[in-house]
Amino acid sequence: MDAAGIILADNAAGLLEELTQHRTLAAVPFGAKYRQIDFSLSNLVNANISSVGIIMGQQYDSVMHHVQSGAEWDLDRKNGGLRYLPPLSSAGSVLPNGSRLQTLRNNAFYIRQLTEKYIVFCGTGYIGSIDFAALVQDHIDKKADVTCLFCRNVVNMTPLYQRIGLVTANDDRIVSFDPTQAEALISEMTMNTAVIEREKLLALLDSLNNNPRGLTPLEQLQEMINMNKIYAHFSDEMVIYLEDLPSYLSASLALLDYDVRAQLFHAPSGPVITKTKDSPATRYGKNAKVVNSMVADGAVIEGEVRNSIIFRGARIKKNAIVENSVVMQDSTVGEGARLNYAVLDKEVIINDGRLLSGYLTHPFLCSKGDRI
Amino acid sequence: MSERKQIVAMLLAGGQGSRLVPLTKTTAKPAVPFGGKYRIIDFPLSNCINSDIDTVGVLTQYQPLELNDYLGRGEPWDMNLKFGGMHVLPPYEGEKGAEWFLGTANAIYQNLRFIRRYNPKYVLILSGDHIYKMDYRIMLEEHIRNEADCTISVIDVPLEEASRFGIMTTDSTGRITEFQEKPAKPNSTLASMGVYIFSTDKLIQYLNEDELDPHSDSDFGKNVIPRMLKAGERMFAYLYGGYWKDVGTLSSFWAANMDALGDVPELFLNDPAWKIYYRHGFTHPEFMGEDACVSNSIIGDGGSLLGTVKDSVIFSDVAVRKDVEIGDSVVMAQTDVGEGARVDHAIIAENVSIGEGSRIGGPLEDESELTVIGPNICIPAGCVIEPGRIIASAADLEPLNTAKQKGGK
Repeated sequence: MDAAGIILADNAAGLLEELTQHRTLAAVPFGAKYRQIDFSLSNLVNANISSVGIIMGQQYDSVMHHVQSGAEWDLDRKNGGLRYLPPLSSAGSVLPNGSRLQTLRNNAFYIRQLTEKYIVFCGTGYIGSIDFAALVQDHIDKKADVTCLFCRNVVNMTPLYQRIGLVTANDDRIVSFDPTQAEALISEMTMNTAVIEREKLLALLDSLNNNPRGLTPLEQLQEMINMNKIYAHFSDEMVIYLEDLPSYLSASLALLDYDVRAQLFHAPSGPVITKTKDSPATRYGKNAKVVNSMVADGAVIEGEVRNSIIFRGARIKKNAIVENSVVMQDSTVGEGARLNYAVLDKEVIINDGRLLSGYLTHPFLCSKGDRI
Repeated sequence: MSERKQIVAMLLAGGQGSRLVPLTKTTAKPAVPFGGKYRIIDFPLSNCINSDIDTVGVLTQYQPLELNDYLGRGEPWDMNLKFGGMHVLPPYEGEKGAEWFLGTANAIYQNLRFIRRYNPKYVLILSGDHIYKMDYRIMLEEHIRNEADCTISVIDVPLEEASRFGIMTTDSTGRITEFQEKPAKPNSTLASMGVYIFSTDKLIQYLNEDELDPHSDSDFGKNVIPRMLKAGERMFAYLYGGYWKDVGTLSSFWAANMDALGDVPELFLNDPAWKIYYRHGFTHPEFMGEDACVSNSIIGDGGSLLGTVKDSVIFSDVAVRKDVEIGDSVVMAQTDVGEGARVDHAIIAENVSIGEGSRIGGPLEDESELTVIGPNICIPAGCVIEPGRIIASAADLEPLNTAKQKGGK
């Protein structure tokens, strides 16, 4: 595939409350052994994209620690491969600092260095196994300037989600956006994922340097839509959104659905790859009881687990009952403790006999390293 | 990056493992899967890296394809180094023609050039068919302290089992005075674990001597060790007190897997301070279904478990379908256990398909013999495999089916 990938891992902190206090959205643990960025990286690699830049904002330590050299994704290459793009000095910038365009312009040096014809931008606000090769092919077939990915199959749609009013022509060319008409018009979810020819992107970044007529961002966008052939690529692949803490819990529990697992983990585009931990096989004690749950390797289950997601190295001790909850890596639930609708970040210790309960709309959250 | 290594390990991984057939039908014994996640060779390799030994020559010979793929450049064990690291050493053609490895000692002799490249003071000789977690550094310290020429790691075995092993007799300082290979009347209960540390000069000297002896089988236990002992070299036993099991037979292989189970397992695989490293697949976490029932078991990932599993070791990507009952068994990766099937006291190898309602083996509590199904076998629905049967190929199933049909008429 003559394309390079750029992962936009620079989301502002705090989207998922304490889960994103110390890590960017891309590093949020999900699905018992993954982090969000595993899905982005796997989607790119499964489309035979072997040059990947990761644009990072604040709190990028956990992304770097997780992805490291990119060896797990075969991205530790002499030519191409993985490139970290940490925030650079933005002296002399025209656009407000922190805007995505400014970030891209800051990283134009990397985009110039690439030799691939196309660039696939990849957002980090969603979980999905999506065929990026089909996206790029669609872009080439339509001779588009920009092709944006939209998804019709969102697992955990809640009223919180911002839909955009997308107005398209018959051939899926985007005519305009009309946020005020979001409900009435085709309202797909934006995914921050798009394809553009590399040379065009560089030209575009240059042209946006000057905005002599003082247009608003929406006016600028409309002008771009008028002047360029911007197409929508509608994917039928399933997508799970990570928007806030309740959606994180519901998204996690959605994995207990067979179809969701099948679409995520057995997608024709390829497997979801993550960092290996050399965990031993999951250990179940004599009185363990585990139903309708997803359990990663390295976990030790001696108590009861229902409708829950248990990460690598987590420990559920005797007579503990964990229901409708997410227990992240290396957390321990003590003897006789009970959890219901709880989200335990990494390395949390719930002492013996504690009772913690939230609700689907208000999960009980324990931050990394908490001891209760 | 220094010019030399203090110690280099040589791992004998060429064994055919004829007593492990059908598990070794198409793969070398060290590549046989073990403990839900691993292959046998992960244990000595992980012991090496955990003992700060980062240079290992792996001598392969029998069915090396799968083993070579698995070893790669040694990256799972952090042994993909520029100086040192893991090297696969297959038999090769030299100036005087090609030669197979004729015995354990000859295999090392043929690869002395590899050892010399690192100019080590000591050479550690290991086997690829033992399950144990051992810090070789402690043994090396003893070797150095004793100013030994050779140190042999031993375990204390029950007297009635001693005749299965190479048995050492030692004096009060631990110096070996006598060596008996599988003696009918053992003089001691210290059994060789097949783990040797040699001072490199002595190793080279005795391998050269062994090569010149036309009557030698070129075997460490049979030839090299007795020759050194006879010559009065300083040979010491290092008594190892931890878990160690030779998994050379189907029953000992099954038993070693079972040793990994229990609240306080004999073979503790969850020790973060002594990780066993392995090559990973891209498996997703295990899904446990509504009617899943699992106790006292270890289970890999990537599969779904909808039935009942007790006292068993289940590998990755295994489908345990509805109403399945598995007890006291080892079920390897990619195997599909069809609805309503029952598996007791059995080893089911990789990529086996067990048809719906089949019955494999008999309960352990009824003292049923171990039943073994080899890799890639397809067991038809409703099939009954009697306890003690070993199914190595589809042909082994033929008379069974016919008998069943005749019985049906």
